[in-house]
Amino acid sequence: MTYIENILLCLAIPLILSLFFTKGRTRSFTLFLGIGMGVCLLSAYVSSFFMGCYGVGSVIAAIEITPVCEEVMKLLPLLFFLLIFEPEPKELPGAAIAIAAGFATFENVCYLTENGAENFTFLLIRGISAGALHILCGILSGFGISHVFRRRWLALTGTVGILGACTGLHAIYNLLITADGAWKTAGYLFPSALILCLYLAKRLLPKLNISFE
Amino acid sequence: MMSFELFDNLFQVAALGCASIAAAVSALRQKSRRCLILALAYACLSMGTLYYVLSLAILGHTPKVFYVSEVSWLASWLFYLSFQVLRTEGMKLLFSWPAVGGALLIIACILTFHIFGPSYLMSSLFALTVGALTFLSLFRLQGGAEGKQADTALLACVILQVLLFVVSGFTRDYTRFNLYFAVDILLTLSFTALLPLNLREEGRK
Repeated sequence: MTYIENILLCLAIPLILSLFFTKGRTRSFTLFLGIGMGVCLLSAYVSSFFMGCYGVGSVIAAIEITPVCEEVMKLLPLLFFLLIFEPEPKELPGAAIAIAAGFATFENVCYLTENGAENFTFLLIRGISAGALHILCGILSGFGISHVFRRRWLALTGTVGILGACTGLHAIYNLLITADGAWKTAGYLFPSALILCLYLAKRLLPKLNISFE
Repeated sequence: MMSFELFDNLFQVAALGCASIAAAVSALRQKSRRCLILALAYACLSMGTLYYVLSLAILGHTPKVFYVSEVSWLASWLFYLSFQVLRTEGMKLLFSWPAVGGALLIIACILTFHIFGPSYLMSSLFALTVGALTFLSLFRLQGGAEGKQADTALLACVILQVLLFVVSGFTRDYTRFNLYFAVDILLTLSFTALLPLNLREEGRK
């Protein structure tokens, strides 16, 4: 049995204490990192509830239930931040990525606690794949929502659409890594490959004078 | 999986994947927000079908709990609605009997045939999305707005999507080409036609 609440406390307390002595962007990033960890814990509860509700095993839950629950849960604090604090659109991607990074970190820590840290290769692959997937979804939701909330009527349809896109990506990843052979390798590699493409686009687009402002 | 079903699904994934890349390239080259939204719509539709095909290939059965494919397909329809919302920007929306009647008819069909079901939540969300899309398309066609071909193509997509689910209720054999696959291939081609139609419309402006 893994006591994930205890792990969260252990990880979150230093982050919370640091908030009293930092300000500005550093403080926001730390706060969203902690929120991401909390959201990971809550989504584990929600996924477990639906697992029990539908009476399915861990594999089916990972493929069908977890992607929906995790993406919805990650989107909620971002929407709260957006609707209550009304930040500048350019602040949203950073917040979304910090939530995703916190989520991925907490998930990896729980995985380490449960399975040990002996197998370096596997842990490296997990860091590159699962970590990259959450960051990829964070990038997509952060940039996407900051884009769609600039137009009033686009906000609702665009937000739910982006949530669906993130869910689809996440579900395909979870499905691929449950298989064997080439499917699994493809699953491990595609989030990092997509992040690389996005990074190249981020570097190239300003040079080509392309923006959607 | 049955042979023609696999071919049909792979055709849809490939066609919509290529359309998504083409729309993304057009969006970057022409700085077009509409093309960007179309790229996302194609990507979601393609991902939904890919997930469905991979489930059959890896697990040997279709998803039965949370219907992730349907979530992805619904996201795609929401992007088509966003696309139409962008095209309607600046137009004053008024009550119109034909537009409201058409939207209600589509909503009634979706709820009657439990399209995107059996979950009532998914069916209702799909009905609302597609109903709004139908209303906007009919309103634009009635008002004589520019880009009638794109509006007609969107309406064709809506009708073909509803027809696909109705036909699937009567189809038992998925091994050979039949009406179900004809409708599905036509639906895929109608989706992809939206990109050139939009590019032509934007080119005229």
